[in-house]
Amino acid sequence: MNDRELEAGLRAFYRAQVSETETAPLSLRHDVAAIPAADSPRRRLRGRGRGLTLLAAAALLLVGGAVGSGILRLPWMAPKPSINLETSAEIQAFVLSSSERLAQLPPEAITTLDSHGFMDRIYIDGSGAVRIERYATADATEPTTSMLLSGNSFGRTLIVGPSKVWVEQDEAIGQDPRTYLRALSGLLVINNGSDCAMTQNDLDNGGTAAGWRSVGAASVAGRPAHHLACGGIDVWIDDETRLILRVLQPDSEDPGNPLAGGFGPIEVTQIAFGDQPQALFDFSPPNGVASMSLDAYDALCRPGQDTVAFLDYPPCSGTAPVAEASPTPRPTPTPSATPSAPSGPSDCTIAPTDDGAAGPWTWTPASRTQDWPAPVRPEPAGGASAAPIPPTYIDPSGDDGSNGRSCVDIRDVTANTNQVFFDLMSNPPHNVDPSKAWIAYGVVVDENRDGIPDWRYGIDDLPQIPGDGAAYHRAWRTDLHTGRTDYDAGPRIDHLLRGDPLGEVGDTQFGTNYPAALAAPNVLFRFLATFETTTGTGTEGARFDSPFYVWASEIVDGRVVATDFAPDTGWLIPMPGDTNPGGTYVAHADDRLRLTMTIPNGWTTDGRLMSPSHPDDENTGLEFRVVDQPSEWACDASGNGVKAQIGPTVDDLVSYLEGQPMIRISESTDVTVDGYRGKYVEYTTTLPDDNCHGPEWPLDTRQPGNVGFTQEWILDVNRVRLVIDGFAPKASDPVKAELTRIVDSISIGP
Amino acid sequence: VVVKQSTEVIDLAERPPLVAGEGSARASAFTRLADEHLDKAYRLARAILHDELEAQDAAHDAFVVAWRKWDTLRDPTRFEPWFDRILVNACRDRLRRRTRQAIDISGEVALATGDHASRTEDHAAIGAAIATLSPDHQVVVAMRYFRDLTIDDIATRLGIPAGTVQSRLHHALKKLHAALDAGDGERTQR
Repeated sequence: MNDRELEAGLRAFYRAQVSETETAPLSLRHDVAAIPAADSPRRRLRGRGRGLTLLAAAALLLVGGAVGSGILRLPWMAPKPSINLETSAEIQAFVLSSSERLAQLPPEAITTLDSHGFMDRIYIDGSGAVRIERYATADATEPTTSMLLSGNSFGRTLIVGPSKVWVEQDEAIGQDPRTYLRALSGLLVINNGSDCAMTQNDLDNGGTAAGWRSVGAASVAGRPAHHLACGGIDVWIDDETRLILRVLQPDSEDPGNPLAGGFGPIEVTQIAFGDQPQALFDFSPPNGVASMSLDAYDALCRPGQDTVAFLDYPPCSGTAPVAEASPTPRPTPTPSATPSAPSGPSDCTIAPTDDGAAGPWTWTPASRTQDWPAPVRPEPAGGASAAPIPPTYIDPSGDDGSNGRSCVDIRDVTANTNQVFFDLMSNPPHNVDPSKAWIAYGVVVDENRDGIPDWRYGIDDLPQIPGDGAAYHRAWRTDLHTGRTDYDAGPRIDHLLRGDPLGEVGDTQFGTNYPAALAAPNVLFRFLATFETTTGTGTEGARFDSPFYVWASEIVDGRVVATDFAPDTGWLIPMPGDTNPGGTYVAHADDRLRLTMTIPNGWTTDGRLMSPSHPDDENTGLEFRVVDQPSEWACDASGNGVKAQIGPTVDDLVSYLEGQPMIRISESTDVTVDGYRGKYVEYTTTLPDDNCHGPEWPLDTRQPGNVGFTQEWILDVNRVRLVIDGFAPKASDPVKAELTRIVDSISIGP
Repeated sequence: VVVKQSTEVIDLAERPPLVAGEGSARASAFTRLADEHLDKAYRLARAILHDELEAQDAAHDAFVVAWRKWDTLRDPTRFEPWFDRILVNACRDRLRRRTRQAIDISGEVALATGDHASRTEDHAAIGAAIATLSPDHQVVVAMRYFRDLTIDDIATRLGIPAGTVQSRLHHALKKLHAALDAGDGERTQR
């Protein structure tokens, strides 16, 4: 049976198994239709709390879309926490202190952001009063809802008919208002097991905090923090104030292949310590919102029932009172005496130009049909040189002509004859209106190789659409000789979220990612897609093989405030994926670790996985991974996929591997890569790779099949456990030497 | 007025609705799209899992997840690839959870491909061979040869590079050949 016969047999098999007209059973249809009623929006937050459902990598990507690289790339030299958490007792006490010390929080303003784009602003005054405002997006200027806790009183906005009303309740609070802060904001952590207690209530209910373990030190919003984990929940707690700064719960139902666009973490993005305007803590309705007495609200919306402080109620029908003509002006909070370090996106926040006058290139709706208004890169007389792009082209930082506009500061560029993508020093802010900050990325191509640019491809931001994420953008291509622009006016969905590989742009087509996207942190232009048919490989789009450079630029107030070209002079020539010329390559083990290395000529690269191009070397290569989940997919002695519980240290992982009966492992030796210490082991097996019915042998991996020999470097990189696998069908000294040379060349950074 | 003096109440704190009627609109959109895609989803789950009851459960699980993650669907016209990814993950997890023993299926394959094997027996041989594949390989095979999706479409739905899809398909076909050839060999010896 040849391939074609087998493929035909498979199609016939599936047709016989499942008729094209088969319908779902009626009972299933009823059950699915009942899901919204059984799991209402009110319960969704609680579900999210229990099941913040992404693996860390994808969740971080999501928040990268929301708030940028402040989360994606943790500050490399994280501020060192002042206390050590070594013993279980210390860890338990520290975790419990996160609730015990809420009432000691100093005056401050806290901003949190979740992956849905909701932003909370929390203000605390010296008396312990707390005001929480919720905004629909990070850029919204007016809160959607507000609540205030002060003394024993509680006030909040509720919805009556089409309007919001302000309802106050006296004698509603029995404790310091700050003790309710965590629950009423997005930083609620749901107890995920009897050994994962976080509060005295959890202990009173028979729980313990014995399950908590320390993952390591970290920095969140510029604050030294401890990363702790228990029962699938990860929390980052401020070393000093014990405030929870980040909450994340990976999805145990979705291991190894997180869902793009799923739930992400909730994170504090900014903390500003200092006294806040006292007017924020006065019980008065927000601008344009009428006050309504509690009795009136009860009579209208909850007849015969009491309104309970803190509980949220669905909108009730009725007529709200009319707001006063001159509502109390809302004070402007005073920022901080000691602001925290800005997160990534704030480097590109909107800032007016010095004189306040608008420049000539202000965005208008007509801009959707036009080229980027600023000129392309100037070229030298006679044209600049062109050279094959290395595996990764590294662009200097800080060369965008601005002072810290890191979202238009190109970091590195990777291309082949299908696509080009590039990383930035940080992602642009979420949902930015181009009339305020117009941020574009693109590629300029010299199609006829005469040194004069022929085409400019670009993507840029669009005006906000309520409820939409930042993946929406527009795409265009301009003939730089005639000035004709073909455009997809948008909103355009990111390539990785599309069902189609490419999208129409006038009479051409290409796929794109805007870097604030939820799905990917890179700028991507994909020109050629390949796919298989029963008669061979098909293609769609145009081969990308002309000299090019990439660009990023931002316009504020009608003026270009930053532009970066990569390279600044000269052209890069894309090479087919299997003819990499060798040289510097950048891989990302995950969003925390960026590995720069030297690879030989002809290696193909695929993010975390790379291998020689020669067909004989099909199952040889290197893989980079971070192995730091509380449990990892692995394989038991019977060949079943299991979740392995592995401790957090390098030695824990070595011990785990040594205990695997399906491999023969060498004694571990000390090793150092780029100054980071760890262990090196080699292991072999004669079992087929599908012994565990999956790639999760002996840990979840993307390695191809027929891997019989593995070299493994297990490193402690600032308490992030990096695993580098060198794999091959069998042990071979030349292959070992080649893989070792590459690993020895690795430098590790954020 | 009920006075709450315990932090127990804080567990009841919920995110307030942003807009009146948002919940019902959401439910309406979900119900409509779920109804439209249910049959297709069920058939794909059947193709991957080869079991009617498990396919029902996997489809239901996937729609529950889809409802919970509804806010992340930014373009309803892209519901199918978005939902397929959820569904395929649900199916793959079920494949992974199945307790399997490493068994020699060559005899089963040989019987099904014997001299007098009917078309049904051919299908049984292919089904038995598919069952030897890893969950990831089973998923890509079903998406390619049941759904007739392109490599790129599969990559989009699985969230993996197209090259990885090609690699998985390549290895899957190689293993299917090996399993079926083993059956042929056994048959010849008999």
